[in-house]
Amino acid sequence: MRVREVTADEFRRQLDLLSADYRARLPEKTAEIARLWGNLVTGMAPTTFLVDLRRELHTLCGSAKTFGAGYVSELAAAAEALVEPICEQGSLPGAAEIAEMTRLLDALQRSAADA
Amino acid sequence: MALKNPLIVFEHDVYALTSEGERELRAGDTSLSPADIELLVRADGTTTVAEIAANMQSLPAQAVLQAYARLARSGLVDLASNLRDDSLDFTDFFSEKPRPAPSQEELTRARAEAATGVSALQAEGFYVRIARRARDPRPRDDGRAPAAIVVEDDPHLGQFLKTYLAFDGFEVRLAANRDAIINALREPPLPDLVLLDVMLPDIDGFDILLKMRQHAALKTVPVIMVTSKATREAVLTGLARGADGYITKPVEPDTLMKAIRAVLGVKVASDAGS
Repeated sequence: MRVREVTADEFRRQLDLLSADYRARLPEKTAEIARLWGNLVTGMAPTTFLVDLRRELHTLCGSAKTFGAGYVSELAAAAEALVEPICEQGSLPGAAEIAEMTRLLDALQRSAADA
Repeated sequence: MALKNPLIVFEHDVYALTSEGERELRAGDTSLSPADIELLVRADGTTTVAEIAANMQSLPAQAVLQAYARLARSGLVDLASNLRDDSLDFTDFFSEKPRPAPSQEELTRARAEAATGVSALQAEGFYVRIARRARDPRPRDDGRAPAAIVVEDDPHLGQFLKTYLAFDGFEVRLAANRDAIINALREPPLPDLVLLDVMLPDIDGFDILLKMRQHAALKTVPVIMVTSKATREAVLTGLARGADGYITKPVEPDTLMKAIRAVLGVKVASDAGS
C-alpha cells in the first residue's frame, strides 16, 4: 500500500536527534519562562502577558515528557495550575502564590539543566 | 446523478439534499407530502436517519427509512458522503459568523461520552470515539499517500508527530498558527486526518474544529484532538464540536497510532520499527 522512505534505524535516529535537540533547548525555554514571570512580578510586563506565560507552561507540560524530561513536565503542570486562576482573574497573586511560583520556576530551571 | 446506494437505507446513514431536492423545496408547486418535505428539510448532511426518526412526530422509524429510500430513488436526497464538496475555498474560514449552538442530541451524547471518556482517560491515558466516518472512510483510489495536517505550536512536538506519521506512510503538513493552518488546508489534496492541538498562539483549537465542521469540504475529515487539556469540560467541548478522537499529552506514539487507525477505520501501517 505504501513504501517507507526511511528505514526503522533512520526513523529511530531522527527521533533520537529530535529528543536531544529538545532537551538541549530546555534551559533556554525555562529561562524565558522565568524571565517572563520576573517581568510580570516587577511590573515590567503588563498582566496581559499572563496568558503568554500560561501558554508557555502548557506547551512545556505537553511536550517535555515525550522527549524524556518527565519531571520538567510535572513541574510545568504544577506551575500552569498555579497560573491558571491568576490568568483568569487578570491580576497578580498575593505574596504566598508569588513565592510558590518562584520556587516552582527555580526547580523547573534546575531540572531543565539536568535533562 | 449516479446514486450509489439508493435502495437500502440504514439508521446510521446521513443524507443531504441534492440540487434537485433543493429545487423541490424552493418550488411553490411541490407535490410532496408534508412528511416528505419535513424529511427533506431534516436531511442536513450531518444528522443520521435514526436521529431524524427520533424527532419525527408524524412517522414511525421504519417509515422514515422507507421514505428516505424513496426520496433517494427520486434523486431528491443522496448519501452525504456522495455529495461531499471538495472545494478548497477557505476565504471565510475564520470569519466571525455566528456559531450555531450544538443540538440537544449532540450535547446529550457528548456529555455521556465525556463522562465515560474521562474515566478512560484516567485509566488508559487516552480516549477515542469511533465516529460514523470510520465506517465510511473517504475513498482514496488515486494511489496517493494519505495526507495529514498536524496543528501543533511546539516545533519539536510537531516534528515528532510528523516523523511518526511520515514513517507510517502519511504526507504531513505542519501548522503552528492561524495563517499556517489556512495554508495547510488550502494545499491539495484535502487532508485525510487532522491532529489538532487546543492551546495555540493566536487561535483556539476548539474553534478550528468548529470551523471545520461548518465547512462543506472539511466537515467529514477525521479530527483527533491532541492536547494537555484532560478535564471533563475540555473533552465535552471537543466531542460536542465534532472531534473523532481525544488524546492527552504527553503523546504516547502507540496510543496515537491506535487512535488514528480507529478514526480512519483502516489499518494504516504496522508498528514503528517492525
